[in-house]
Amino acid sequence: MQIFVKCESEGSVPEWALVELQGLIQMKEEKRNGPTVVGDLHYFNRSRHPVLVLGHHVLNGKEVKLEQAMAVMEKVNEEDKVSYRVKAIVKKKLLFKSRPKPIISNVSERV
Amino acid sequence: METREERTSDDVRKVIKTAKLHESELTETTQVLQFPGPDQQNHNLRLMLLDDNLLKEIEAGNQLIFKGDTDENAVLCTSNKTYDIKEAETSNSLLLVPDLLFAASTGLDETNANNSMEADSDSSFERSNTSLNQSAECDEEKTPRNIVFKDILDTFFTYYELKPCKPRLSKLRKLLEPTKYRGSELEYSVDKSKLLTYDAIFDQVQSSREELDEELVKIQAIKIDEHYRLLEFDYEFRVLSYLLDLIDENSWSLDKISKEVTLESLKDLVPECILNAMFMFYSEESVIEDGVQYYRYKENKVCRFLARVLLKSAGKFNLVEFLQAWRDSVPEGMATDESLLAGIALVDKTSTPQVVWGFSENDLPEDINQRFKVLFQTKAKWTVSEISPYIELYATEKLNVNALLTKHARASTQDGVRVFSAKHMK
Repeated sequence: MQIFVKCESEGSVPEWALVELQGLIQMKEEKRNGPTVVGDLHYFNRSRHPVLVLGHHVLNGKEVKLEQAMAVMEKVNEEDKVSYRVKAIVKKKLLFKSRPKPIISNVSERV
Repeated sequence: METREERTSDDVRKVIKTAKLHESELTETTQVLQFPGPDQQNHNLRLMLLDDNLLKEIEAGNQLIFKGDTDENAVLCTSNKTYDIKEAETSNSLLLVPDLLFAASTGLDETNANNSMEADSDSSFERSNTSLNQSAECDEEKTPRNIVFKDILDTFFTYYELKPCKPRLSKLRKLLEPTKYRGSELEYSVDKSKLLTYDAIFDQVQSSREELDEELVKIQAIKIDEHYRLLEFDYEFRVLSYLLDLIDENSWSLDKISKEVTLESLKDLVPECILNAMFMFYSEESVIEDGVQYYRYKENKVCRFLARVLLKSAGKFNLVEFLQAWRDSVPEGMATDESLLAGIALVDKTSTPQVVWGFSENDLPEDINQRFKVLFQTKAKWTVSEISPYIELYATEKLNVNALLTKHARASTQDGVRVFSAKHMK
């Protein structure tokens, strides 16, 4: 049996990114319709390192080139025939491997 | 859209402040990561690691193919390579974000870069002071931050790992075995439903196109009326004999075989496609004279085949008698040599008289452990060169024949020669 992996024509494969975190993100609740905000991602001017504010945690990370690129493939079901389509290539990721720093504040209002 | 309006520059600033970050130290774009609504989440995505070759294939827009039946481990094939697929797990979560901006594209312009260079020379104490001041200033300035929303398409904990591997070709022979060609007079007895076209074979064999094509030539599969067939041993012998007999008939010298005459003389005896293919399998170009290309038969190949013919009947032969009969069976001028028997016959020089018997790699079990068992049952001690033809099939770049032997056999030295025997003696 063969399952085809179709690639977009030359030069048109977009580059996407991965954000790698330790553990997993658990949302208190996800909205039924519409998006749920996870966190704010900034970059430091000086070091170009990313910083992610995630709920009550600050995560410092860095931009890392993947040792091996990754393909993002989408499984497509057409007329009972399964195939894959390469949607994008991932070459870089933002890696947040350090321990998250908790935000300690006396702010009474909710953020 | 509602949510987008909910998060303003002020919201983001507030978070920056409570997180004890200083806005002035950050580039001007904030990316708000979000899980999109359920209708936009995509759980049909998979991640797959690519080596340089696969990356090139994909960037060139070439098609890749996953191959395998339900009872086989899938492989991925390019046009000329085969990859083994394994699913790898990670305890980290991988969030897939299309169009994520990296630092370089978030407003890190030249001036900013220069400023930070200068700031580098400040003492850390001063720096933290200035940044405190700056952040206070910025708050007053209230230039709106550039806020963009980025969707997390899906979160991954697994991805596929690919390793180049040998194509899995042993199935090919099995697929072609039931429909061997035994001559036109016996065609009626062949089960037509088992005949296979190229596409049907390609669909079932876990191999790239190029690797399959090579193997089809190697095992001498011939395309007869759209279907690939193997020649039955006796029939192959018949055709080869016709070919070789023409040498004598026409008093050709061995390197001046005429393809034209050969094909013309035998066209009534052998179907054209088989004749062509057999000529191709057994001959190579030799000289060009007066614009005509002449051929010579591959000596080793012819000799090996004729040895197999002699050894075909079961049982052991007296080595001296066999070598004589073999010499007599090959066309004049071709030289037989005992070394050509590697992989098709075994010689026992310890017995009196010395004997030889047919022992073909193709007849051995496919499973490597089973195969070693049979090999050591047949003969207790093997030199590397003796055993190589029977286990080469399993060798890979990383695991060569010697490594295989180290793993599956016990090494010892006999009369100064390194030999291998079964790991566990009975």
